[in-house]
Amino acid sequence: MSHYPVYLDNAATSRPKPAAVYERMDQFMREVGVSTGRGAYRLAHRADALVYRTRSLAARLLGVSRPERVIFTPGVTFSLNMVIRGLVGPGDRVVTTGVEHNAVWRPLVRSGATVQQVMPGPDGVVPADAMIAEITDDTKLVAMTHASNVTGAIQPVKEAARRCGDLGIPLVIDAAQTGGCLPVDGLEHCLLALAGHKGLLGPPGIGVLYIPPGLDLEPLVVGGTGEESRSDAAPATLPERYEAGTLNVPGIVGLGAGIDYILTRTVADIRRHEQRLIARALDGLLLPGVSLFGPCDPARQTGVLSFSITGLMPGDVSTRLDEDYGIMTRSGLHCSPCCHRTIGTIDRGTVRIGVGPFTTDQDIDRLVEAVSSLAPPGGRS
Amino acid sequence: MSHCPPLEISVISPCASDPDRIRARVDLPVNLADLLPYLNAELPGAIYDARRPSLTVTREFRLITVYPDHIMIDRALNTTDAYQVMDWLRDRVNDVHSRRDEITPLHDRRPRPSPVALYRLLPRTNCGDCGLPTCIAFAASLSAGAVSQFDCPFLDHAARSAVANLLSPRA
Repeated sequence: MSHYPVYLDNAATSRPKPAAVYERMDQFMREVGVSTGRGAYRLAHRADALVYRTRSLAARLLGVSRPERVIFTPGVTFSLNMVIRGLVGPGDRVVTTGVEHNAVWRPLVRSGATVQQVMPGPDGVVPADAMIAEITDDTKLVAMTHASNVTGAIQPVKEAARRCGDLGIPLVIDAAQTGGCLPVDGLEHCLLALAGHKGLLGPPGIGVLYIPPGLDLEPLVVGGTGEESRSDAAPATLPERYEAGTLNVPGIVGLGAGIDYILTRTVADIRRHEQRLIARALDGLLLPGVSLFGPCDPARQTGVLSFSITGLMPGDVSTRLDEDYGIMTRSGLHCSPCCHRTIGTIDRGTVRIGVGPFTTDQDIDRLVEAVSSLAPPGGRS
Repeated sequence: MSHCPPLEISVISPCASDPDRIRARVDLPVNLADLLPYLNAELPGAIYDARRPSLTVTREFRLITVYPDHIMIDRALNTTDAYQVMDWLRDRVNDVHSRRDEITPLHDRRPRPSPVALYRLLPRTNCGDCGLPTCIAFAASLSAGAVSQFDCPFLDHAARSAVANLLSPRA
């Protein structure tokens, strides 16, 4: 059988990107290549226009009407730190889930706040009523993932958003795993943190933070903003207030091309595609000696699936999959020890696959055949 | 079909009336001279000058002047704000262009409400927070389209609506 490389680590970063991502970034660097907001020449205005275009595309994808409140950041981890550092301090009460990525968990721990974790059920999903019950009027912030990066389990963010809306409490949603592959519209009164390089199909080094109207954060970083330079303080106007320093314009251009692809193909189509692939994987990996984690239901999870093979360390499985079968997966704790504690894998971790818009049925079939060979009672020679 | 494609700012400069805001010039790839009377008919509070020709509208606190071959946006907060205004205007231009067979163009300058009528709706405290020395000066500027009701920080929603109704062509 042909051993062309199979990439199943889209939960870490998406690969490949749509062709336009590479083309437009290259075109920008060769034909424009200047900074935004700091020049009175036409190329600088061209750069401004390109940045605004991505900003308005992102607003359209998120279903929000205020592009100036779509902030570009170096990544989703930075976005989440901006929110948590900007809103929470010692003594504040924060509600979160037991399946958070360290990008949420570590800033919360460092904040000195009193953090209440709501634990998931055996399927990896936090019960909506349990989440709602913990959100009371003395809650300063609710921070939760839209979907686990370990099990793919989709969390009850809309129910939490409704509850937070009723009480006037900010909710920040870690949409790193869902941007571009699950609808995130209808959450326009929530803070939304997204990675540019996963489901949004842009390059690494760019992320998005949407800040709803009526909410102000203390900026995490202050510095040059190109406009309103006379003041000693960060400007009050958006987006400059939260975008100090030189913007990663090629990254923003690439992100714009990725979002363009998603809007053309539609999130619904990408979601259908990934659900079908996960269903195929779930079907094929129901093998003796293979343990599956999470909802094990394409309707209740993203394109992410964790598994383990009896008698083999996950790291060894990933190495064998890569070296012997050309299949790329990610093993370990996936920067989410919180989630691994809930599924009993904190000591060993799991092997994780993450499908994407360009993953094929053949890729899944290759994975199933490879895992079948590795799993006990013994593979074929 | 879109009459007006996506636009790009050509020049940015500090706004003459407020140094913390910007003025943006947008060169147009299409000539809007024939469309201006239709925009005059459809955009509330528009001021049309057939001799230049030009059309001035306000979008909250921003002043937008449309010429046949370019647009000037005054008092935008920043570049992003200017682009949002451009998007709004471009949508309006494309909409009016698509419906022009249904619109009766307005070739005349719409009569402006008297400054006295507008003055009666203002706080009349002469606080100066709008940047003008007196409320009657603000009323005169409002009538001339040089400021908008959003430039007075002490107008409540009802008063702003009343001012907008006086300025609107449907009043």
